[in-house]
Amino acid sequence: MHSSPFSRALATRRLRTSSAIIAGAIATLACERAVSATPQTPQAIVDTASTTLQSVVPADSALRFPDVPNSVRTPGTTLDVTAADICVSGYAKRVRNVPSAVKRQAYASYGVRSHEPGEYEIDHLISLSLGGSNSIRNLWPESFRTQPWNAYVKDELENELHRRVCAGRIELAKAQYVISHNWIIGYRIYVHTKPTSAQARRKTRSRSRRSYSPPRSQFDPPVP
Amino acid sequence: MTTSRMARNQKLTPIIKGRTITQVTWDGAAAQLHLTDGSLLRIHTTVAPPASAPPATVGKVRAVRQSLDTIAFDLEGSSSLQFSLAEPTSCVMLRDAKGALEYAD
Repeated sequence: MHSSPFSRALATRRLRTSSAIIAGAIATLACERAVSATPQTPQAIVDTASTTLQSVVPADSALRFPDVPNSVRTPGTTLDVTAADICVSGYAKRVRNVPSAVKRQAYASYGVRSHEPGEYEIDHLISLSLGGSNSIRNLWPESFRTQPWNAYVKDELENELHRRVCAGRIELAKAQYVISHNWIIGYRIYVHTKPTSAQARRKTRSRSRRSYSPPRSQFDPPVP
Repeated sequence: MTTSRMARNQKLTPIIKGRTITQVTWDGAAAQLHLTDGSLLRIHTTVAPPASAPPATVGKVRAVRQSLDTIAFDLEGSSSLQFSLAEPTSCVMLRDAKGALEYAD
Protein backbone atom coordinates (compact mmCIF):
# COMPACT_ATOMS: atom_id res chain seq x y z
CA MET A 1 0.00 0.00 0.00
CA HIS A 2 1.35 3.35 -0.96
CA SER A 3 1.02 6.28 1.55
CA SER A 4 0.71 9.87 0.39
CA PRO A 5 3.64 12.30 0.71
CA PHE A 6 1.62 14.30 3.21
CA SER A 7 0.99 11.34 5.46
CA ARG A 8 4.64 10.31 5.24
CA ALA A 9 5.73 13.82 6.25
CA LEU A 10 3.26 13.84 9.11
CA ALA A 11 4.48 10.45 10.33
CA THR A 12 8.08 11.62 10.18
CA ARG A 13 7.21 14.75 12.09
CA ARG A 14 5.39 12.74 14.76
CA LEU A 15 8.36 10.39 15.04
CA ARG A 16 10.77 13.26 15.51
CA THR A 17 8.56 14.86 18.17
CA SER A 18 8.25 11.58 20.05
CA SER A 19 12.00 11.08 19.91
CA ALA A 20 12.58 14.56 21.27
CA ILE A 21 10.18 13.96 24.14
CA ILE A 22 11.82 10.66 24.98
CA ALA A 23 15.30 12.15 24.76
CA GLY A 24 14.27 15.00 27.05
CA ALA A 25 12.84 12.58 29.58
CA ILE A 26 16.01 10.52 29.54
CA ALA A 27 18.14 13.65 30.02
CA THR A 28 15.98 14.77 32.93
CA LEU A 29 16.29 11.41 34.61
CA ALA A 30 20.05 11.45 34.07
CA CYS A 31 20.39 14.90 35.64
CA GLU A 32 18.31 13.92 38.64
CA ARG A 33 20.38 10.79 39.09
CA ALA A 34 23.60 12.81 38.81
CA VAL A 35 22.37 15.29 41.40
CA SER A 36 21.25 12.58 43.80
CA ALA A 37 24.54 10.76 43.28
CA THR A 38 26.51 13.79 44.41
CA PRO A 39 24.76 15.06 47.51
CA GLN A 40 27.39 17.72 48.12
CA THR A 41 26.27 19.74 45.08
CA PRO A 42 24.39 22.91 45.94
CA GLN A 43 21.28 21.93 44.00
CA ALA A 44 20.81 18.75 46.00
CA ILE A 45 21.27 20.61 49.24
CA VAL A 46 18.90 23.41 48.31
CA ASP A 47 16.20 21.04 47.12
CA THR A 48 16.23 18.76 50.15
CA ALA A 49 14.21 19.64 53.20
CA SER A 50 16.05 20.78 56.31
CA THR A 51 15.40 17.43 57.95
CA THR A 52 17.29 15.64 55.21
CA LEU A 53 20.12 18.18 55.21
CA GLN A 54 21.67 16.35 58.13
CA SER A 55 21.93 13.18 56.12
CA VAL A 56 23.26 14.91 53.01
CA VAL A 57 25.95 17.12 54.54
CA PRO A 58 28.67 15.52 56.69
CA ALA A 59 28.51 16.42 60.36
CA ASP A 60 31.77 18.31 60.28
CA SER A 61 31.18 20.06 56.96
CA ALA A 62 31.90 23.76 56.69
CA LEU A 63 28.30 24.22 55.53
CA ARG A 64 27.08 23.41 59.05
CA PHE A 65 29.45 25.83 60.65
CA PRO A 66 28.52 28.91 62.61
CA ASP A 67 29.70 32.26 61.31
CA VAL A 68 31.09 33.33 64.68
CA PRO A 69 33.15 31.17 67.07
CA ASN A 70 32.11 29.77 70.42
CA SER A 71 32.84 32.59 72.86
CA VAL A 72 33.84 30.22 75.66
CA ARG A 73 36.11 28.10 73.52
CA THR A 74 37.50 31.04 71.53
CA PRO A 75 37.24 34.24 73.56
CA GLY A 76 40.11 35.87 71.66
CA THR A 77 43.55 36.64 73.11
CA THR A 78 46.27 39.11 72.27
CA LEU A 79 50.00 39.50 72.40
CA ASP A 80 51.55 42.17 74.58
CA VAL A 81 51.87 44.61 71.67
CA THR A 82 50.87 48.18 70.98
CA ALA A 83 49.54 50.06 68.00
CA ALA A 84 53.11 51.19 67.34
CA ASP A 85 54.12 47.54 67.01
CA ILE A 86 51.35 46.40 64.69
CA CYS A 87 51.56 49.43 62.43
CA VAL A 88 55.15 48.67 61.45
CA SER A 89 55.34 47.24 57.95
CA GLY A 90 55.92 43.49 58.07
CA TYR A 91 54.74 43.12 61.64
CA ALA A 92 52.72 39.93 61.05
CA LYS A 93 55.74 38.23 59.47
CA ARG A 94 57.58 38.52 62.77
CA VAL A 95 54.97 36.34 64.43
CA ARG A 96 55.58 32.63 64.33
CA ASN A 97 53.28 30.47 62.21
CA VAL A 98 50.71 28.45 64.13
CA PRO A 99 52.16 24.96 64.77
CA SER A 100 50.38 22.14 62.97
CA ALA A 101 49.61 20.44 66.26
CA VAL A 102 47.81 23.54 67.51
CA LYS A 103 45.81 23.74 64.26
CA ARG A 104 44.73 20.14 64.71
CA GLN A 105 43.73 20.95 68.27
CA ALA A 106 41.60 23.84 67.02
CA TYR A 107 39.81 21.61 64.50
CA ALA A 108 39.26 18.94 67.11
CA SER A 109 37.85 21.38 69.67
CA TYR A 110 35.12 22.28 67.15
CA GLY A 111 34.41 18.69 66.19
CA VAL A 112 35.89 18.92 62.70
CA ARG A 113 37.16 15.42 62.10
CA SER A 114 38.04 15.87 58.47
CA HIS A 115 37.99 18.62 55.93
CA GLU A 116 38.78 19.24 52.31
CA PRO A 117 41.37 21.71 51.04
CA GLY A 118 39.87 25.16 50.85
CA GLU A 119 36.97 24.35 53.15
CA TYR A 120 38.23 26.09 56.29
CA GLU A 121 41.04 28.19 57.56
CA ILE A 122 42.30 28.28 61.14
CA ASP A 123 41.41 31.88 61.76
CA HIS A 124 42.82 34.20 64.39
CA LEU A 125 39.66 35.65 65.91
CA ILE A 126 41.65 38.73 66.82
CA SER A 127 43.79 38.91 63.72
CA LEU A 128 47.57 39.08 63.88
CA SER A 129 47.34 42.51 62.28
CA LEU A 130 45.39 43.65 65.36
CA GLY A 131 47.79 42.07 67.83
CA GLY A 132 46.03 38.74 68.14
CA SER A 133 47.98 35.79 69.47
CA ASN A 134 48.55 32.20 68.33
CA SER A 135 46.94 30.87 71.50
CA ILE A 136 44.34 28.11 71.03
CA ARG A 137 41.91 30.51 72.70
CA ASN A 138 42.24 32.83 69.72
CA LEU A 139 41.93 30.20 67.00
CA TRP A 140 38.90 28.62 65.33
CA PRO A 141 38.11 26.86 62.05
CA GLU A 142 36.37 29.43 59.90
CA SER A 143 34.55 28.46 56.76
CA PHE A 144 35.38 29.82 53.34
CA ARG A 145 32.11 28.50 51.95
CA THR A 146 29.26 29.81 54.07
CA GLN A 147 27.35 32.72 52.58
CA PRO A 148 27.28 35.63 53.00
CA TRP A 149 29.59 35.53 56.05
CA ASN A 150 32.88 33.72 55.63
CA ALA A 151 36.63 34.01 56.06
CA TYR A 152 37.02 36.33 53.07
CA VAL A 153 34.52 38.79 54.48
CA LYS A 154 36.16 38.76 57.91
CA ASP A 155 39.46 39.58 56.21
CA GLU A 156 37.89 42.83 55.00
CA LEU A 157 36.99 43.81 58.54
CA GLU A 158 40.49 42.94 59.77
CA ASN A 159 42.06 45.11 57.09
CA GLU A 160 39.69 48.01 57.72
CA LEU A 161 40.21 47.96 61.48
CA HIS A 162 43.97 47.76 61.00
CA ARG A 163 43.83 50.81 58.74
CA ARG A 164 41.77 52.73 61.26
CA VAL A 165 44.06 51.83 64.15
CA CYS A 166 47.15 52.91 62.24
CA ALA A 167 45.43 56.11 61.16
CA GLY A 168 44.63 56.89 64.76
CA ARG A 169 40.88 56.74 64.14
CA ILE A 170 40.21 53.92 66.60
CA GLU A 171 42.09 52.61 69.58
CA LEU A 172 43.70 49.19 69.28
CA ALA A 173 41.85 47.87 72.32
CA LYS A 174 38.51 48.88 70.84
CA ALA A 175 39.34 47.26 67.51
CA GLN A 176 40.28 44.06 69.33
CA TYR A 177 37.00 44.19 71.24
CA VAL A 178 34.93 44.76 68.10
CA ILE A 179 36.40 41.86 66.21
CA SER A 180 36.40 39.43 69.12
CA HIS A 181 32.87 39.98 70.41
CA ASN A 182 30.97 39.77 67.13
CA TRP A 183 32.87 40.37 63.93
CA ILE A 184 29.71 40.37 61.83
CA ILE A 185 28.29 43.32 63.74
CA GLY A 186 31.69 44.96 63.44
CA TYR A 187 31.61 44.45 59.69
CA ARG A 188 28.21 46.08 59.43
CA ILE A 189 29.43 49.06 61.41
CA TYR A 190 32.88 49.60 59.96
CA VAL A 191 32.79 48.15 56.46
CA HIS A 192 29.30 47.79 54.97
CA THR A 193 25.79 46.88 55.99
CA LYS A 194 26.14 43.57 54.18
CA PRO A 195 28.76 41.96 52.02
CA THR A 196 28.05 41.85 48.33
CA SER A 197 28.23 38.50 46.63
CA ALA A 198 31.46 39.58 44.97
CA GLN A 199 32.96 40.54 48.31
CA ALA A 200 31.82 37.31 49.88
CA ARG A 201 33.52 35.24 47.21
CA ARG A 202 36.61 37.35 46.66
CA LYS A 203 39.92 35.73 47.37
CA THR A 204 41.73 38.24 49.60
CA ARG A 205 44.73 35.99 50.01
CA SER A 206 46.27 33.60 47.52
CA ARG A 207 44.61 30.33 48.42
CA SER A 208 43.03 27.56 46.38
CA ARG A 209 39.43 26.60 47.04
CA ARG A 210 36.51 24.83 45.45
CA SER A 211 34.70 26.96 42.90
CA TYR A 212 31.04 26.58 43.76
CA SER A 213 28.57 28.74 45.64
CA PRO A 214 27.00 26.94 48.60
CA PRO A 215 23.62 27.93 50.01
CA ARG A 216 23.25 30.30 52.95
CA SER A 217 24.59 29.11 56.22
CA GLN A 218 21.96 27.55 58.43
CA PHE A 219 23.44 29.37 61.41
CA ASP A 220 22.35 32.94 61.93
CA PRO A 221 24.62 35.39 63.72
CA PRO A 222 23.58 36.30 67.23
CA VAL A 223 21.15 39.20 67.42
CA PRO A 224 22.90 42.15 69.06
CA MET B 1 61.82 16.13 76.27
CA THR B 2 65.43 16.11 75.12
CA THR B 3 66.54 18.94 72.87
CA SER B 4 67.60 16.46 70.21
CA ARG B 5 63.93 15.54 69.64
CA MET B 6 62.73 19.11 69.44
CA ALA B 7 62.40 20.76 66.08
CA ARG B 8 64.41 23.83 65.23
CA ASN B 9 62.45 27.09 65.46
CA GLN B 10 63.03 28.21 61.89
CA LYS B 11 61.85 31.74 62.48
CA LEU B 12 63.63 32.63 65.74
CA THR B 13 66.93 30.84 65.08
CA PRO B 14 68.16 33.09 62.26
CA ILE B 15 67.09 36.16 64.23
CA ILE B 16 68.98 35.30 67.42
CA LYS B 17 71.80 33.06 66.14
CA GLY B 18 75.20 34.52 66.97
CA ARG B 19 73.87 36.81 69.69
CA THR B 20 74.99 36.29 73.27
CA ILE B 21 72.83 35.79 76.33
CA THR B 22 74.56 37.51 79.26
CA GLN B 23 72.01 37.12 82.04
CA VAL B 24 68.69 35.46 82.89
CA THR B 25 66.39 37.25 85.34
CA TRP B 26 62.87 36.45 86.46
CA ASP B 27 59.69 38.49 86.60
CA GLY B 28 57.37 36.09 88.37
CA ALA B 29 57.17 33.05 86.08
CA ALA B 30 58.48 35.03 83.10
CA ALA B 31 62.13 34.45 82.25
CA GLN B 32 63.95 37.47 80.84
CA LEU B 33 67.02 36.72 78.74
CA HIS B 34 69.28 39.76 78.42
CA LEU B 35 71.47 39.92 75.33
CA THR B 36 74.70 41.87 74.84
CA ASP B 37 73.15 44.13 72.21
CA GLY B 38 70.53 45.32 74.69
CA SER B 39 67.70 43.24 73.34
CA LEU B 40 65.42 41.32 75.67
CA LEU B 41 63.81 37.91 75.16
CA ARG B 42 60.85 37.28 77.44
CA ILE B 43 59.53 33.75 77.97
CA HIS B 44 56.38 32.84 79.90
CA THR B 45 57.19 29.63 81.74
CA THR B 46 55.19 27.31 83.93
CA VAL B 47 56.84 28.30 87.19
CA ALA B 48 59.76 30.40 88.37
CA PRO B 49 62.78 28.51 89.70
CA PRO B 50 63.40 28.55 93.45
CA ALA B 51 65.62 31.28 94.83
CA SER B 52 68.25 28.68 95.67
CA ALA B 53 68.54 27.53 92.03
CA PRO B 54 72.00 28.02 90.45
CA PRO B 55 72.49 30.77 87.86
CA ALA B 56 71.27 29.88 84.40
CA THR B 57 73.74 28.93 81.72
CA VAL B 58 74.61 31.81 79.38
CA GLY B 59 76.57 32.14 76.15
CA LYS B 60 76.37 32.66 72.39
CA VAL B 61 73.31 31.16 70.75
CA ARG B 62 73.77 28.57 68.00
CA ALA B 63 70.15 27.57 67.48
CA VAL B 64 66.71 27.56 69.05
CA ARG B 65 64.64 24.40 69.34
CA GLN B 66 61.05 24.28 70.41
CA SER B 67 58.26 21.82 71.08
CA LEU B 68 54.73 22.39 72.37
CA ASP B 69 55.91 22.59 75.98
CA THR B 70 59.63 23.44 75.88
CA ILE B 71 62.00 25.91 74.32
CA ALA B 72 65.76 25.34 74.31
CA PHE B 73 68.65 27.57 73.31
CA ASP B 74 71.65 25.62 72.05
CA LEU B 75 74.74 27.56 73.09
CA GLU B 76 78.35 27.41 71.96
CA GLY B 77 80.27 24.78 73.87
CA SER B 78 77.44 22.24 73.60
CA SER B 79 75.55 23.68 76.55
CA SER B 80 71.85 24.39 76.45
CA LEU B 81 69.41 26.70 78.20
CA GLN B 82 65.94 25.21 78.49
CA PHE B 83 62.56 26.46 79.70
CA SER B 84 59.13 24.86 80.13
CA LEU B 85 56.55 26.94 78.28
CA ALA B 86 53.31 28.03 79.93
CA GLU B 87 51.43 27.04 76.74
CA PRO B 88 52.31 25.88 73.20
CA THR B 89 52.17 29.38 71.72
CA SER B 90 52.19 33.05 72.71
CA CYS B 91 54.94 32.65 75.28
CA VAL B 92 58.05 34.06 73.62
CA MET B 93 58.74 37.66 72.62
CA LEU B 94 61.97 39.35 71.54
CA ARG B 95 62.39 43.11 71.51
CA ASP B 96 65.52 44.99 70.49
CA ALA B 97 67.32 47.61 72.56
CA LYS B 98 64.90 50.29 71.34
CA GLY B 99 61.86 48.20 72.21
CA ALA B 100 60.94 47.31 68.64
CA LEU B 101 59.40 43.88 68.26
CA GLU B 102 61.70 41.39 66.54
CA TYR B 103 59.81 38.14 67.13
CA ALA B 104 56.66 36.89 68.81
CA ASP B 105 55.54 33.33 69.30
